[in-house]
Order: sequence, then structure tokens, then C-alpha cells
Amino acid sequence: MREYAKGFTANVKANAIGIVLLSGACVLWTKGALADGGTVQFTQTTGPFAVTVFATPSPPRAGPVDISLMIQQSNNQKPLLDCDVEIELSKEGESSIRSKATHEAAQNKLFYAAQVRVPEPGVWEVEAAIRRGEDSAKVSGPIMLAASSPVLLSYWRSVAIPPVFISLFALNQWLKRRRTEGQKREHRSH
Amino acid sequence: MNSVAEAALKSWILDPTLIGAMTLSGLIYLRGWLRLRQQVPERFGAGRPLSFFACLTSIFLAISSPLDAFGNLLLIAHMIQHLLLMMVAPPLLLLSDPFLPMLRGLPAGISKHWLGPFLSWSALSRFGCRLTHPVVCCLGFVCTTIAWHLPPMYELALRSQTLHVVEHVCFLATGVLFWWPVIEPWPSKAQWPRWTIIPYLFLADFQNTALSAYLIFCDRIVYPTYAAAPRFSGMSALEDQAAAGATMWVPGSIIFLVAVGIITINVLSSRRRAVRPSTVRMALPVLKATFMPASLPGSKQSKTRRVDSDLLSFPIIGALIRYRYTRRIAQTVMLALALIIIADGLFGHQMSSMNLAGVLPWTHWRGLSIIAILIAGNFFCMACPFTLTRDIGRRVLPARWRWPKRMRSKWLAVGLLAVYLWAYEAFSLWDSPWLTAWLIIGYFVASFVVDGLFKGASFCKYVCPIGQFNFVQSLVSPVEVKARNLDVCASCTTHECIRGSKVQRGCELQLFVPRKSSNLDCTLCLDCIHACPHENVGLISSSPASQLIPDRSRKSFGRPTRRLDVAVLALLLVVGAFVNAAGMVAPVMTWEQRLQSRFGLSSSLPVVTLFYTVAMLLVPAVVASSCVVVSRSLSGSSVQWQKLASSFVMALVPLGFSMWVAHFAYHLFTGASAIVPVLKRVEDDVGISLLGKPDWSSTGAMIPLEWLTSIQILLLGAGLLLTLYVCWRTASSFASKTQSAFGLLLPWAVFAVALYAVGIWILFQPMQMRGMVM
Repeated sequence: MREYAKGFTANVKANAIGIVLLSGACVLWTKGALADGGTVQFTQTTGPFAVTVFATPSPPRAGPVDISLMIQQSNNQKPLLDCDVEIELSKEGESSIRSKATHEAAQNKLFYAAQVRVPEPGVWEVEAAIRRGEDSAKVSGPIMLAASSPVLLSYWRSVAIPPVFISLFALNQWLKRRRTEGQKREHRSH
Repeated sequence: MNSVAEAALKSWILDPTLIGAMTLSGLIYLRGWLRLRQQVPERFGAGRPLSFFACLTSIFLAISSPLDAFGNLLLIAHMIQHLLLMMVAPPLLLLSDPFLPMLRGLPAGISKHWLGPFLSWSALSRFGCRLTHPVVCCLGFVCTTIAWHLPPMYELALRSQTLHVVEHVCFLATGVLFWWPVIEPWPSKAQWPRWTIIPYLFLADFQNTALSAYLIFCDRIVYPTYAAAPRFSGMSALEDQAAAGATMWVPGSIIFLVAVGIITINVLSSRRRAVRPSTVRMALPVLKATFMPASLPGSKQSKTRRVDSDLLSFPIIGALIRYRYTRRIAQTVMLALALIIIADGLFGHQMSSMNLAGVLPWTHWRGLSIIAILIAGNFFCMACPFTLTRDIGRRVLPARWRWPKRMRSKWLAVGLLAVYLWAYEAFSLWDSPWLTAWLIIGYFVASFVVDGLFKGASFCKYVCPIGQFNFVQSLVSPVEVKARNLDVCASCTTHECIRGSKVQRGCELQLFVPRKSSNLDCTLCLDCIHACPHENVGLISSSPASQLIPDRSRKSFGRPTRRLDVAVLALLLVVGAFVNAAGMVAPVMTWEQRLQSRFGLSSSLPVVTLFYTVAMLLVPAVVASSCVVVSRSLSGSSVQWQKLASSFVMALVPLGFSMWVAHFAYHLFTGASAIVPVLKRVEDDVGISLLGKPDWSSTGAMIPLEWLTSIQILLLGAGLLLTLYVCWRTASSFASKTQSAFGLLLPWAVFAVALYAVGIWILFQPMQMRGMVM
């Protein structure tokens, strides 16, 4: 029993690795969604509005893109939360993409976000039409979209699970077999 | 509170997978802690779970609260996030002594057979010892902190979602390692004298102070992202940087100093040395109970059957299922629904997405019944409305003949299933409410005639394609009708479970409970449960693969591995899952249209027929035969051809099942809301206006498509893993040597991986939205 306890105490060290790996794997696996925010694309002040446009992923790629806006009062930087915002992405030779940007679609509720699917890479013009009571303004700027990444890459976390488990299972079986053989040898020597 | 602060506080990121993972960890810990508390109350006091849940809360706050949403706007928010991950969550985790509770909280099989070999692996132990050495821990912590705070690394993490996650994982992992020698979670042992932890902590505090001071006193913005970010909090970027440094400095140093204080008291007091060894001695039986492998001296293999959980013993659900009229009520409800669907299918609007017959059977019923099989069992057969007309048939018609002996197999059902899968696509059954209504009517008539003429449940057992589908898929279900105690069955002489009694009929499918080893042919009618006078039949939990491995002979069924008809049925359903889903993805549909126009065909019927004949019948037959040939040649095995094929084909069932679930769940989660406007339309048609006018634009996916795809991939991955596991067990049962087992396994594993790859490809294609108004 004493020997077993000693072995166990040493083996608990292995738990450290397990816990670290597992906690890492859990967090890594769970946080994969397209979050708003990302990197600042451009900032413009027009009329009463100071507008900062963000895009995710970074760098933005063709495919699903999150366009987020932070709208502030130009004189005191106070975030404005009661605007109507509509964004339009256009590119020569492509049909334009329109979407309403809302707080509901944003994770950071100070932002107005819209998730759009951009079909082609290249330089797209983002135009945001902002209305707040009597005030309205339009801001626009270019956004450079790189070629889309393969779909498989977007879901690599989910696809990677079977190979990881297969490797662990192979290791598990190898360890079991090794232990059984060790016990047999020990039995024979006695 | 002003509106800006209110909006900021609402910026929570509620990720269901994160919440699910945390809830699961919490439940496992709690289960283990409750068990250990009964054995060692001194060691596992109430403070342990409090500490564990505080750790989970701090991780949740760090990565789901507004701190994360504001991390790229305010450096202070990001620093608080790091502080929680490095200085708060890790010590709380270690203070909860999580190892034994987590291991005891897991099912015993997982702890012993899956984790046990790793825990007793000496190389891993040595690596663990080195990893938890104070020098490694301190260096890891300090280097990680400095490296991730270097501007290029920090900027990279802010720009890339994946790297940001990697950064957090590094902080959490090195945090756990750093606090390990400080807390020494039980039952680990100190590698250095206790007093050395005091300079250890001071060293870390020095690094923390240096980094914080740099952020506070630097006169330029260290991280360019914050210079470009809009300012809204009244703080300039430089003030924000100084505040972040102060946050890192003051609370960080306080935590280090508190730890130093406690350790100093510990070192100076002799109490710790007196208490520690006695608790370890006291707890050893707990360790033994948790890990002692069967082969170690002192352990005894239990000869009695392990007590599995029984769904019937669950408080409300159990009573509901046991209630004598539950099945009848469910059948009546389903019958009423079927009649309404028939009426709407025949007389309602003929656009499938606007008709109950186009939405309820193809979107809701299929999705819900397969999910029921996944989480519990074959509940559709339990509530099957066709069995009601069957009972009427028995009263009206003679019901005295026995089903022809030559047809007592699954071959007829195999044929009907193949025809059904082909007809579904060839005649677009899903798109025709009228045909759907006639299909249901046909079902009622068939069950009425077959069981009106023949004895027993011949329709369910030999004819019904839906039944065969459910029987095969429910082999992966977690619940099975089984005897609670086989000794009670052995002493029973009356066998009411199969023969019936005066008031209750026995199993109509002739499944004898003590010899029943899977859900195959079980309609979950619960007749055996109601008939057993000893109350010895339950809905017992079973591990997912267990029903696919045993090869026991069963009454009225024989050995499953000698039933080629069952193997062909299983193979048809496995491959059918992929073919059925492929039939509705854009590339396959485009290919079919091209082929049709190339040959100048006016109808798509010949092309669809060709596709189904090749993909669903010829390819699987050729591949399965080749697998058997290669298996035998690689392993040098002389196992009978049919036995080998039947065993390995059954192993593919989990993969096919996962594809069916992924496919039907897609339609359910994207099209479930279509029922609302359809119900309003039906109500409008019959002149009632309780629900209002239908709004056809209101239909939409219940969950974001990105999540759905992830869930589908995970399901398919789980199916592949289960299939490979069953393949391995099957191969091991045929071959004693590892090399031979590998030879047997290899072709089937390749077949399974190829099917998985096809499944992944299908999931990534644009899928036709059926049952929805576009």
C-alpha cells in the first residue's frame, strides 16, 4: 500500500500536465467565433459624428466579415447608442452588399455590428449611413480584403479532435499492453 | 447608471460551448467531491468546491464578461483579464485540490481504463515532476508574462483571435504551474524546502513590479492598437496605460505578499508538519478505490453486475414512462397529428414549405426522433401511430397466420428502405405534400393489413422501413431495455416478459429480456416492463459502443454476426446517410443537372436512379467486399468471410448515425420556425384567426450557421471515433496478436475515414434549404 501511495503521489504530477492541457484545450476550443471589434480600418469625423470602423478577421478576408462601427459625438467623444446605421459594401463589377448594423449583432454593445459575406477579395468601399433624429451623415472608406482562407481552416478546432483522440487512444493501448507485459515478466520471474 | 455604462455592462459574450464545458467540469467536480466527502470529510470540506467554483467564475469573468469585449479598446480591461487568468483562477483551482474530485466524478470506466494508464505512466510522471519543479515553474511564468507583453507579440495577439486564445491559455497554464509549488495541491509533495517559496514569490513579484512600472512611467504608448482605438472613457491612451500598469502592480503584488505572509506563518509554525502526513494516511483507501487497477495486488474484480442507472428510477421522467397509458396517449397524439398532416397534404396549399405535410414529417419529426435516439432511445417507435391501426386490424381481420418462414429476415425491409431512399430524392417526396400524405396513408394501410393477417408484430419486425432505421440507429443509444438483475430472471419460471400475462401482453417481437443484448428489434413498447411481475426490467444506461461489440446468440434473432441481412441493412443505412445528404448539396445537384442535359434527358429520374444505384448499392458492396479480402490477406486470418463482414459493418453504424443526426439536425435547426407561419396558414384556411396572419419572412435558423457547422463536425468526429473504437475491439476479438488485429482493422478504418472525409466535404457545401420559404 505504501509503495502504491508513493507511486500515486508521483503520478499526481502528471495531473498537472493533464489539467494544463485540458484547460487550454477547453478555452482554445470554445473561443473560436467571429467576434466584433478587430482592427481599426478608418476613422472619420463628419457633422456631429466621429465614426471608427473596425473589421474582423484581421486582416479581413473574403467570406464572412464582421463590420463594426463605434459612433461618438464629435465634440465630447461620448458614444452614441441610438443611431440607425446601414452599411453598404461595394466594388466595381460586383453587386453591392447592404446590411443594417445593430447593437444586437455586436458583442461590445457600444458598437453597431453587421455580419456580411463578401464574395471576392480586393479593395471594397465601405459606406455607412448614420441617422440620429434630425442628424444624418455618411462616412466611407476603403477596406482591403485578402483571399478567403479554406473553409477547413475556419473549423480546424472541430476537425482536429478525431486525430487527437486517436493518438491518445493509441498511446493508451500501448501503455496498457506494456503494463500487462511487465506484469507477465514479473510473474514469470517469481 | 448612464446608458453608456449600461451598454458596456451588457457586453457579455455568452458562448454556449464555454458555458457547457464549465457546467460539465463543475458537475464532475461536485459529483467527485460529494463521494470523497463521505470518505474523507476532513480533507474535502466545503471550502474546496467554493474554491473550485470561484476559479470557474474568474475564468468566466475573464473571457466572457465585458472585459473581453473591451480588451481591444482599453488596456486596463485587458490587464484585468490577464490578472484573473494568472493570479486569481490558478491558485483558486489548486486550492480546490481538484485531482481526486475530478477523477472520482468521472465515470469509473473512464478513470480506470482511459486515464489510468496515463496516470501510472512513469515517463509522464517524470515529466510532471520536472514540469512542476520550482525553477521551471518560475521561469515559465516570468518568461510567458514578459514575452506576451512585448509590443510585437501583444499586437499579434490583439489582431488574431486564435493567437489571443493561445495567449490566454499560456497565462492560465503557466499560472497553474507557478502556483503549484506555492500551494502544493494534495497529494503532491514539495520538491524544495518550504522557506524557499518566499524568495520564489519575491522574484515573481519583482518581475511584476518591473513590468508594471514600465507601463506606468513610460511616456509613450507602448501598444499602437490603443493609440488608434477611439477614446470614450474620459481617459487618454497614456492614462489608460498607466492605469493598466497600476492594476497589474497593486493587486498583483498584494496577491504575492498575501501568499508570502501565509507561507511565512506556515514555516514558523509546526502545525503543518504535524497535520499533513496523517491526512495522507487517512486518505489512502480513497485513492485505492479510485485508481486501483484490477491487476494490482489487493484489488478484487467484482463478480456481480455493476449497478447502472435506470431511466425508470428518475423522479418525474421515470414515473411518466412507467405510467400504463403513457404509450397510448403518445400514440393518440401522433395519430391526431398524422391525420391533420394527411388532410393538409391532400387538401392544403401544395407548396411544401407552406404545408404541414411538407414541414412536420420532413423537418420536425425526422430531426426530433433522431435526436431522441441520440440522447435516450427509440422513442418514435414507442409513440408510433401506425401501431394503433395495427391493433384495429387484429380485431377486424383474422390475424392467425405466421409470417412466412422464408421471409423471416430483414431482406424485405432492406429492399423497401433502398426504394424509399431512392424515391425520396427521385420523386422529391419532401417537396410534395400530396405524395407525403399518400405515403402516410400507405403506412396505415400496410400496418393494418400485415398485422391484421399475421401473428405477432410482423409489420414492425419484417416490413416497416422506419422501424428498421430506428432499430439500427438505436444501437448507439445510451439507454436499453434490460434486466435489472439477471439472478431474478434466472429464478423466474413464468417469463411474463415474453409470454405475457392475463392483463398484459409480452414482447411481440419475441425478444427475451435476459438474453437481449442490444436495441435491435426493440420498439421500446415497454410491454416487458409492464408485464414483469418482479419489476426487474428497466431502461438501463449502456455505454455507446457496448451494443455493437457483443456477439451473443439471442432468442428469435440468432447471432448478429451470422445475419448477413442485418449487416446489409446496417451498411445500407450507413452509406445511405451520406448519399441522402449528398443528394441535396449544390455540387452533386449541379453534376446531376449537367449529366441530364448532356444526355438530353427530359427528367432527372434516370440520373438520380443511376446515382443511387452506384453510390448506395454498388460502391458499398464493392468496398465492403474489398475490405474483407484485404483484411484477411493483411492479417492472415481465416475468419469466415460473412462473419468478418457482418462484424465490421456493424462497427460502421455510429458513423452513419452521426451523419444522419448532423443532416437532420441541420434541417431541424434551420427550418423549425417554419411551423409557425404554416400553422397560421392552416388556421386561416379553416376560418379561425387565433394566431393571426402568417408572416413567411419570419422563418430563420434557430442558431448561427457557424455554430451549427461546428456541432455537425463534432458529431461526425464523435461517430468516427466510436466506429474506429468498435472496429479495434472487433479486430482484437478476432486476433490475439496486435499485428494481425491491425491487419484486420486497417481496410475498415480507411473506409471509415473516407466516409468521414466525404461527410466533412458534404457539410462544407451549400445545402438546399428544404421545408423553408426562401
